Amino acid sequence: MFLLLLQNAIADALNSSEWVFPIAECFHIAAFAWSIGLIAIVDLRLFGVGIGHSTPPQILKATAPWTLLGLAVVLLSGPILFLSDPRMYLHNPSFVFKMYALALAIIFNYTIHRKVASSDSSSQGIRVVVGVVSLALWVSVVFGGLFIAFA
Amino acid sequence: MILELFRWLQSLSFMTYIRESGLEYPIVMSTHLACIAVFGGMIVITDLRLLGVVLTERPIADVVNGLRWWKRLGFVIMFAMGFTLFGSKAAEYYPNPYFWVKMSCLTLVLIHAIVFRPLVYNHPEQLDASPVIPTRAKVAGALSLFLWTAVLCNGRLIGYYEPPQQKGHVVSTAEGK
Amino acid sequence: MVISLQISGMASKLAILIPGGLLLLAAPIFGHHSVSAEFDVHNQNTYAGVVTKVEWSNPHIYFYVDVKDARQKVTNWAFEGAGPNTLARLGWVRDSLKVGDRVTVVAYPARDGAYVGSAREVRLSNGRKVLAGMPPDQSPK
Repeated sequence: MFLLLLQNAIADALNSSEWVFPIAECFHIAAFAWSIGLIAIVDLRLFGVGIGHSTPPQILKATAPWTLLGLAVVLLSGPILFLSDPRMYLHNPSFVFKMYALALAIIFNYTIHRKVASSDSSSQGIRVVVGVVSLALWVSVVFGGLFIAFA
Repeated sequence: MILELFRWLQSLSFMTYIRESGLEYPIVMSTHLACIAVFGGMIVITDLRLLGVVLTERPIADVVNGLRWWKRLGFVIMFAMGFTLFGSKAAEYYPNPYFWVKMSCLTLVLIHAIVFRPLVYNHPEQLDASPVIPTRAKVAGALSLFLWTAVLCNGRLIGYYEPPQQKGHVVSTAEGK
Repeated sequence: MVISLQISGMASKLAILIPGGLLLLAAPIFGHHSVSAEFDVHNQNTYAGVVTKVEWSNPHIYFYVDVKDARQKVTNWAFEGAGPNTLARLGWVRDSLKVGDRVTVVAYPARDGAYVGSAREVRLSNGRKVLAGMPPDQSPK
């Protein structure tokens, strides 16, 4: 009950200015372009292409703190959008899909992806599979997000 | 005249098909957005490398040369999806200020490419040879970042615009009473 | 070292986004964020009349109804519904609504008094009802 009141209060505050949502959304999109772009650069290296004269561990090491920063902005701006209308989002099948895909993408990124990308000795076959899965997961999150408005 | 052109464009059967579609329209838009995520990020990273902020362990040449064709591929897909989205409802975009700001910024991006490719992007090894990153590279990076951010934000805001003229209207008033 | 890099990273992101944001100041009208921002969700109304036009389009469909009020004044109302994909899941397809159909539309009117509404549901003269797929509370389950 209290949570419901709190949700409504937050929602009202967020909806009171018509700029809050669009600005949060722009940060959200810029931040995921940033993070997913950085992850994609690691994945390109896993495929053996992209930034030259470097190994996946080198690219991972150079990008990891920036990716984390980007994801932090994504995960801060996302809830702002969510709180503008929690009931709608929770009932939206695309949003639910997106949250599962996001959880999978983050977990994968910081477990298997990290392990394979930081190893100089992982096989090319494994690297390709991991890169493909990584890109597929993050692209699914993006699709899930867009489809919220079309679900 | 431009409005006539836009009306004609959206009347094309392909554009009409997309406008009235169930899944195709959101798929086109999602692909546009996925390109922003995967390739837009690469653009930002290249520019930040030129500014000396990110990936400083890698030579500029490796970053610029290595990502060049991926960024171009991404741009082609992004543009194709974007043009489809625009074309499907072109007449509705006509009064939308965010659309025009976005197009202006994209035009500036084109000019930026024409100016800075010979100066910066086509010879990145010169930038690495210099003890500090040359100013022209930093200017190129900063301008590019600014322009692409504006493209992104205005692109998102396109969907928020409501034209001021009202859709509904009075047809006839009461006769007598 | 890492922390100062991160701060400069955040600063550069803000430095990028804020001037980018200034370009947002082309912004005149901002109708379209949430249904409750544009429409009066506490004042659901019913509008009866004849369909004059259907724009079957993404991301929202629009359909127009000549509504006659008690004093015989006829107003052409524009109603907004969800996109074709959402509507398909609710059983509303392209020719479900045709020009000339007599309908009753349940909708939230626009806050600014314009003859525009966010449709909740449409009742056709054959008794059939379709949801218009708009928030709040109407995503298909």
